[in-house]
Amino acid sequence: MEQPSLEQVIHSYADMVYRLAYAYLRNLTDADDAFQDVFLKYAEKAPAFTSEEHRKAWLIRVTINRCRSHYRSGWRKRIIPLDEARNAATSPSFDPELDEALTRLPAKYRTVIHLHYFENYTTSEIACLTGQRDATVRSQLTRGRKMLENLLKGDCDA
Amino acid sequence: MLKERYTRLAGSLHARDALIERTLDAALRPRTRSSVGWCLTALAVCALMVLAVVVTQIIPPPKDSIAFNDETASEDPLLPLGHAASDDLTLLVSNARMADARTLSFDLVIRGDKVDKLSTFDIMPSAHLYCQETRLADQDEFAPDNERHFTISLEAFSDSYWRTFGPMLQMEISQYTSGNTRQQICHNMDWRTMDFTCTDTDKPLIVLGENAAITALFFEEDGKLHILTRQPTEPPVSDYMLLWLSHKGALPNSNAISEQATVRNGFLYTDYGFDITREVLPDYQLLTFTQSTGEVIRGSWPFTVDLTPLFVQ
Repeated sequence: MEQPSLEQVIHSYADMVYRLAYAYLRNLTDADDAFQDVFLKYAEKAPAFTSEEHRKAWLIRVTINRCRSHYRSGWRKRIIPLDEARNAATSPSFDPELDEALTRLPAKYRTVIHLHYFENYTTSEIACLTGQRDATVRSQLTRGRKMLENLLKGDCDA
Repeated sequence: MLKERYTRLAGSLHARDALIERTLDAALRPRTRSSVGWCLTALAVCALMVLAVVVTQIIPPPKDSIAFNDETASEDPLLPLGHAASDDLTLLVSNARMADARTLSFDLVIRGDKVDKLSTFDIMPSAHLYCQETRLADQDEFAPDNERHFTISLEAFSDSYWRTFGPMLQMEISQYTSGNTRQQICHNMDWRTMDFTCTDTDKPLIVLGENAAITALFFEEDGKLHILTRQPTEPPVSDYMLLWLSHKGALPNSNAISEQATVRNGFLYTDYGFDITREVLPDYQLLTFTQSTGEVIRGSWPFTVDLTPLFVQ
């Protein structure tokens, strides 16, 4: 398989990596950092992939690991983030209720929901990507969806 | 319906062109710069150094400023790591060295003209595989118009760690300004550009990987295979660990170890040394950790690692 240039890879997967990082971290600045780290690691390792699907899976895995590391940071746990004016708020597609509900979901649920809903991965594929058992992913997806529905319902009721 | 709403929301988010360009620039710069470019850069650096010397000779320092590493500045120039967005804070690093085979040390000065107090200050390799997190100046007073000097030591499992993983050292600082506003600053420093004096030969090293709870690192020392694990103490985890080492493809029942772990800096560490001969070890390729609290099995995570490179002569 012919390996594309780094520039081509970044342009092809920029949005995917950024959205996944943001889905996990819910902070634009942190997502920026994760985005840079992922592609710098890609440039540093220059892995050879057998297919585009293989490359995409590698980028997803590295992004998730990078985001998990961010959450595990002792420093991170002590930080109360400043309220962030999300630039997405200016987009006509911005959905404030859903955005708020997602912020209240645990990160592991957000990741699974994002990979399933947006990247259209099956639970088995997500299990491979996240290094979890299939049953765990299914459970996270079910609980995440339920929690999200309850949060949205609460918003509607209010 | 929920899927459609989510897809619409997530699809509205895009990586900014500036971020992409910055990332490309950072990733490609060292590889694409031509020899002419390097010469021009070197010339520019020389010119700046000459200018800096001239300026420091002509302009005396203000009396109330604190002398900044005068003794070593000439032979070991400080590396300014950058400024906060508000220009409130500057980090300066010098004298990076391997204090011993496992310990990376360097001197750090934090200058903060408008900083009342540092709340936290952590340093860790950005690879996040293993390193103790260093926390300094926790709730410490930080006098205005002042600077703080630290000598920082980061202990790794093995000296080869520093050469193999985590080249970018990440410093994260949280500060309080006089307006009681908390700001966060994160700087990355490539310690590979520094001059390390430790010349121990690299030991074979394999990092097994990490899952949500455990980071494990393998290396060989004193004829033993060491397996070191680290896990956060929050949320509460086990006070001991079961570790199974088995033949590839076989049930994990060959070796089981249960030992007390130690807690340091918010992490729980275990260190196992397997006294297994070189002839036998490459056959063992499946390792499973079972993390327990009392009688309750919390879960297990299979890892697969090819140990053969450890024994390449």
